[in-house]
Amino acid sequence: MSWQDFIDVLMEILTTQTGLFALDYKMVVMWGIGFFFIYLAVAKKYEPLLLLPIGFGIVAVNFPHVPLMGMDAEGKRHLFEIFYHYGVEWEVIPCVIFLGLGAMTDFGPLIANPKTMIIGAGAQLGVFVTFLGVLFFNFSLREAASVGIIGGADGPTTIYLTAKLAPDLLGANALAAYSYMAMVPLIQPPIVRFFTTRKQRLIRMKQLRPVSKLEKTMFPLMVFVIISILIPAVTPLMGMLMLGNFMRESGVVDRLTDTAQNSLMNIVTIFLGISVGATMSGDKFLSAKPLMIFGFGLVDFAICTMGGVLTVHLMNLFIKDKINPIIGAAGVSAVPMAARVAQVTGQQEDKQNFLLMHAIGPNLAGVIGSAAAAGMFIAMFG
Amino acid sequence: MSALKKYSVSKALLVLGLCLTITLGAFVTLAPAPVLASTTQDGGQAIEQAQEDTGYVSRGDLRRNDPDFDWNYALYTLIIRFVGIFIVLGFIQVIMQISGRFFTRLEQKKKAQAQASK
Repeated sequence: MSWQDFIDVLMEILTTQTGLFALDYKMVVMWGIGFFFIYLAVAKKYEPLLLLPIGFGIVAVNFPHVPLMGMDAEGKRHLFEIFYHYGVEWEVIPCVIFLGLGAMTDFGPLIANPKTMIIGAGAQLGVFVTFLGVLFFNFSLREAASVGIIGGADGPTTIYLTAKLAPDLLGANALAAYSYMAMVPLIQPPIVRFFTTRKQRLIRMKQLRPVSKLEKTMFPLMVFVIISILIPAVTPLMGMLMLGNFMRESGVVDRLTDTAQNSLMNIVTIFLGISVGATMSGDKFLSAKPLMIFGFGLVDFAICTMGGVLTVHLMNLFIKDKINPIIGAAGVSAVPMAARVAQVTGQQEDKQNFLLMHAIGPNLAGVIGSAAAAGMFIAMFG
Repeated sequence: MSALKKYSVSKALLVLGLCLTITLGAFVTLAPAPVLASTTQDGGQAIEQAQEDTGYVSRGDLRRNDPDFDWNYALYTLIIRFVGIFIVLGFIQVIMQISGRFFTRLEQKKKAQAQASK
């Protein structure tokens, strides 16, 4: 064996079995993006449960020759591809997350003040406005629908809809949705202040009535039946949410409830984060579309917030016990972040005004509203 | 107080009825063929039949620059569906108001019975 043969073998190993010579600038840019999200999660604590695995997933799939996303020569799926295929493409993970959310959620404030349900509908305004706006930029109808839903500020719903209608946009849409959910405290207060007067922000609302155990137990069954009849397309998502809540409120399956809201939720969150991050390879992600999606997502979110506030103004024309318009902003379904922001914004005007429980109502209505909007889009284009 | 409650339920039903009428009216008059086809996709056979009858194929992948792209379709169906969300959530609200009143009365009765037995 000559020296030249040795060099040839070495070079072959270096080019085919290591990533040294296959690195390109797109991968390096994606590392930057991935590490940025890891930084946001770890240092800033912005949605760390999701942004951390998403960030790691982005970095991990942007190395040459790594067997993570794709298939091997025999057609076997790689590790992240398995998570993505069975978790996201098969629409399992968003539904299981909704099961956990249902098991964690107390719908009491919404049941005690059903009027707030309408705020959750009004706060979907941005979803539809953005849908139309995005069409002007040559997105297809399906893509426009999946971008529009970002404003609903509901991660699992965004992922569920995007996986169904525009899987190519999954990474960008999910990232935009979770980023804006994390930025609710920055985005919403200025919008709320712009669309309300000080006098309106000082409105104190009547204390909510107590809700009986029986009423809470009947609620998920009732919503499940109504949603299944009116928007069957979204039954997998809403059905799981209501099943989780029914398990919680029935009080007879504490072990299952505990599993749904803790262990199961944590497991699927890991798989979801990795799967979403893994869809973002440099080749697909580095184009104008993701940037546009981030821009539209912000506008969408702002219009949804505005829609919620304006809906309260409209409702106040007809009702006797006025609603503080600040809680309209909680109509987007970033639970419970948007409700907390409403509480803080209210207390900046009046320290004795406690809006948190009132804001939870539209917040939960927003979850149902954004799922309903997703159902409408699936019925249109699914 | 109860008269006020009764009034609010009837008003909610009125608003719901109006929304329903507007939606159904728009649904029937504005763009019947494409909208009907798109909403019955889950029906399988129904969509196939609609495609055969109208030559209509799913429009989800169309873009603004495509010759078949129809802004009217996008706009009509969007308005209908936005109103639809109000109808769905409004319907849930009305049911919640009615059931809330029922459960509140039930609780009051229980309390009264408990007090009477003491």
